[in-house]
Amino acid sequence: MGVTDQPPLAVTRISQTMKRLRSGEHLLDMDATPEVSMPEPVAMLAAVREHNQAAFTQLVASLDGELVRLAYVITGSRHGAEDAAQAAWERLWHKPPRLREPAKLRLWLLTVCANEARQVGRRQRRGAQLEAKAVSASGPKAERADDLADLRVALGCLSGPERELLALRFAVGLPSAEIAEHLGLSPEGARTRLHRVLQRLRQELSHD
Amino acid sequence: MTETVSSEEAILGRRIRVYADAGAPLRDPGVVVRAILAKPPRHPLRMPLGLVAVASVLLIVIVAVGSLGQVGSRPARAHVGGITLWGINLGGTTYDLAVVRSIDFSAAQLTAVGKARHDGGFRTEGSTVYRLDDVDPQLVLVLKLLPGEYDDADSVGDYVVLVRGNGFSLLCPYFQPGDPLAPSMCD
Repeated sequence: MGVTDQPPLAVTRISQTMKRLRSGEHLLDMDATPEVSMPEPVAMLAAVREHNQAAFTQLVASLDGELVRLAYVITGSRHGAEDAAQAAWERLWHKPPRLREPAKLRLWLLTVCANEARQVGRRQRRGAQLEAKAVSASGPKAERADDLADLRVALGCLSGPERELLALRFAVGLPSAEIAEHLGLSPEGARTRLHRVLQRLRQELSHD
Repeated sequence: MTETVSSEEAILGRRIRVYADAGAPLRDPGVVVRAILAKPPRHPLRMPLGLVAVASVLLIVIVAVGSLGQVGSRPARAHVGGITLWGINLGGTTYDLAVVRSIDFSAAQLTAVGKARHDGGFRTEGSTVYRLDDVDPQLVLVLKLLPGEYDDADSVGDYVVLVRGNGFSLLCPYFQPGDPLAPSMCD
């Protein structure tokens, strides 16, 4: 192996990363929050089809947190989030899907949960607003609670699909490619839409 | 996998994550599962034909369907056995678009026969319209849906069908015996 003037690839990448950080960009490492260690989805779906309760419980343990977070951002309500996630699990247990790609079970669950959450959100809109006021008034750490309440109000000004997009990206941590697949868009289209929704959210926050 | 976002967007993203973590309840998986096992499955639509009108697909416009290959018109409303269906005009032939939640067939049984364009209602997988096995496409056509599509009652399933004439009866072999959601003529 000969000596070259080129730096090793890893050094090049670190250098590029530092340059991007200095230029004001942040790197959001999707692997930094690997909370989901989902069991092997093909076998899991087959087990659920056979009504294997242990497998189903394992699947719930691995993904329920994601579903509830997703639904919470969409509905703005704890109860609504629980209802939506529960409905998704019920759907899986009682009528498991015939997925052409069983590996996409997680995306299917997220999609079903998001659809449920949008419906629950419409039904419980008034309740969610009341809950927002309660959090704002009685949180133990008032400043943080106010910040979250502001965010909740701003999110409430967005449409359901817009909240869903933000939830998938930030509450669940889906990469743009999977969000694009979920929305039927190109990855670039998904990133553009995300950017616009974030701009809208920023505007709503600045109105507070 | 690393994705690049602006500084401000990253901060907003973290706020959303904190908001979700703070608000979303942590649930005991065992409790979640026991609640599901204690509850019977949902069958919200025990109706004749086991079909439901798809009012949200008001603006489906068939662009071309294989050999039929002609421009369609906006759907016209029809009532069949007390159920409202939305007619789809396809090359001069009107189909009813219907949900068939529990229909049972695989993608391998479908043959693409043309393209459809829609600008409302359910999200379909691509724009292809399919024939089901050897079922006459003049009577039954199939649209594939993206996963997780819902109507007001429940999950719609993986497909919706376009049916006309005695097309419903041709679908009977694709339902499980005794399926309460199967068309009534399948009993």
